[in-house]
Amino acid sequence: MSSLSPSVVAAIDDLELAARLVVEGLRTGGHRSPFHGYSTEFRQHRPYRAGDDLKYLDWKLFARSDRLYTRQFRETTNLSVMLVLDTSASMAYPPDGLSKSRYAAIIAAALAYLVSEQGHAVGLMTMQNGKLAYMPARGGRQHLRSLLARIDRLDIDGAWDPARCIARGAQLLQRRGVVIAISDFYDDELETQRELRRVAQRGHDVAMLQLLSQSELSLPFRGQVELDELESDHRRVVDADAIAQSYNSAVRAFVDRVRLSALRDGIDYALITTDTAPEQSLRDYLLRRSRREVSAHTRTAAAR
Amino acid sequence: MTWLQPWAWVGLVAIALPIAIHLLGSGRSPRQPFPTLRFLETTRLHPTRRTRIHDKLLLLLRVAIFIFAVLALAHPLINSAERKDAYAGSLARLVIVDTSASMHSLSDAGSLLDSARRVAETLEREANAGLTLESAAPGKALAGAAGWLSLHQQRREIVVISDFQSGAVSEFELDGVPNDVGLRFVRVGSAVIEQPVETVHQLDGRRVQAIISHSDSAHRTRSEVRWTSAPGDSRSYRVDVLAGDEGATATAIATRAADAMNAIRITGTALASPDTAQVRAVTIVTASYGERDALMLTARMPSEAWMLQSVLALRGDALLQELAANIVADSEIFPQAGIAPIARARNGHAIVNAAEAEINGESRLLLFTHANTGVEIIASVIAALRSSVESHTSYAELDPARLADSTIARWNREPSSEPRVSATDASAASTESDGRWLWLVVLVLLTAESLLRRRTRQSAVLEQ
Repeated sequence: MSSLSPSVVAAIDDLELAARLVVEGLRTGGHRSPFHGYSTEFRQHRPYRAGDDLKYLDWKLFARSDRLYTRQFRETTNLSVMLVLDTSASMAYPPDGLSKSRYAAIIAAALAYLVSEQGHAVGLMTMQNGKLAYMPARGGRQHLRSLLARIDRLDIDGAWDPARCIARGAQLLQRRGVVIAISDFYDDELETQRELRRVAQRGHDVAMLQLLSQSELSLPFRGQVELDELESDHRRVVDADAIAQSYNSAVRAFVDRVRLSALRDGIDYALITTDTAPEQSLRDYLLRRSRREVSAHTRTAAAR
Repeated sequence: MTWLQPWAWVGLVAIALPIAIHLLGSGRSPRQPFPTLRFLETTRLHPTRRTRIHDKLLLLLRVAIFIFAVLALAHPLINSAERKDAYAGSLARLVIVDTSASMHSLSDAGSLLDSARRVAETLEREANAGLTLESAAPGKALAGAAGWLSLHQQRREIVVISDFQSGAVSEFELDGVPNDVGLRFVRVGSAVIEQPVETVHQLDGRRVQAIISHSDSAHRTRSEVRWTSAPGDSRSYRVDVLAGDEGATATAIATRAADAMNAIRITGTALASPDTAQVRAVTIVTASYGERDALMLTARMPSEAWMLQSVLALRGDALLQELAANIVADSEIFPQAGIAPIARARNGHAIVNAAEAEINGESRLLLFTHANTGVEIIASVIAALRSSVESHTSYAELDPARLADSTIARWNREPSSEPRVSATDASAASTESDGRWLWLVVLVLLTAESLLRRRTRQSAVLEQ
């Protein structure tokens, strides 16, 4: 099934519907949820369902019964995921078409949907009018609906404090969980990296989904143009033709810096551009995450 | 096409404004929102010029907007066939009837004036809008007639009904009539008086007879009017001046003026019957006359009608009164009451007084002048006397010379068939003119300019 294009997804007003479409697309593609609990104590068998991780299939039981069963562990339902969403004014770019904030909302909603469907808890941490606004991580359909509605109503305005949001978001997770930050990460680069490192060091699973548009990666203007910075009153008149090359290089360097820093700190990183279908972006991210987990499990098993 | 407000063309000067702004302006850089300026380095900026083709199109549109707006403000009036037909069928006519003295000439059919009025009535009725104006100076009435006609939307015509005595209408007076106004001249009476004509005229309410002869010599035309009778009203004045040696110069001048007056015989009664002639003796008595005091003693208030009329005429003469007002007199001439003062000095003293007295058995109107009066006062007294006795109807009114038929035929012209709007309707020209279509064009051009301007801004920024 081909992914729904960004413009089509953007045209869907209902965030929950858009999220479900993305998730259905993932499932159809045979994706498994990479979010697992941390306990390995066997609890029970249940019949295999499409999408279950094959590594939990009980092959011995299959050999005996000719039926497929999945092993369930005691604390698979204990996973908490905190979505940290950037709502600063820079996320409102580009002004025409699918903005980063809308894209981020769809990604966040799809992740929340995926996590909740798996029986895990999901929460939300943002900043509104300079204050932290959050929903604690919980499970259940009711909570999911509330969370999606909250994401849909977010105001994209002003600046945000990413380090503070990430720190508080991690704090709200009562036990080890997953912190997924979705942002362009323009603000407070060093502080943000530091905080992400701290959260990862505390044992949380941290993911950085850096969201940019193609017109940010490559300067789209020609001739003399006056640029208004979205998060401040700053304005600058530039000769776009003269600075295009240096700009593109600077942006690439920034992205590489963020990525390398994340890798160094053991943080999951993905660069998502808004011209890619949300489903495709998530698929790529989840695939990478799955591979990482498999290799982690393999190392753990080998160590035992 | 007609332009109802041609002054609006001045607005074309304003076209220079958008051209100047478009070509000389540095052009603002288009503004675009951008997430962050962190990665942008400062660059040296250079002025932008409008050189791209769609900018020239924008300039063209803006200039066209101005031009069409000016055209609309000038209120064009398209002279369509319907408009022309409607205009051609309408007519506003003003008829001028000459009421000068020569038009009072009587015949068996009545006076020329009556004939003229009958013709005027018919002509006025024929027009969509008509008016008859009576004037003793038809040439002078032409300007007023043109003014009345300017208030009307129809074709316009002036008709002059007259005997066209020489001077009734002149070329100069015709120049004041707009070219699109038609002119028609209708003669009543004869064009040329070939033989001596004895006519009867009604003048100042009196019937008088006159012989009018007109002869052509090789070099010039001569006219002569001779009164044959002026029953009961023949007037002849003889003016004398009584003065002493001290006033010799003044006396000489005054005497010459009086002789001139006497020589004119202003009422032309040389042929009048001596039985009916009445010589009216007026004597001006200057301050230097030796027997003035004795005369004063015998003087009394004027009693005869002609004397009283003369006194009234002298009192009403503006020149005499103004001259007197510039004099300061020492005293009154006649301190006693009963003598008729004619003119007073600035300080109120009478300096010319009228009285009746007999000199050499002849009853005379005496005009006593003050010592301070000069020659001017005496001359103005004589002039005032003369104008008081002249007939109101001057000799010129009976001049038999007429404008030739060829002359007035040359002046005739048809009214213009080009539709026009009258002066009063010009203020409501918006309901009449076709300017509304041009405003529609302006609206379309404004819309196009707005769209092109928006597209120019977008394409200048996002060329990918």
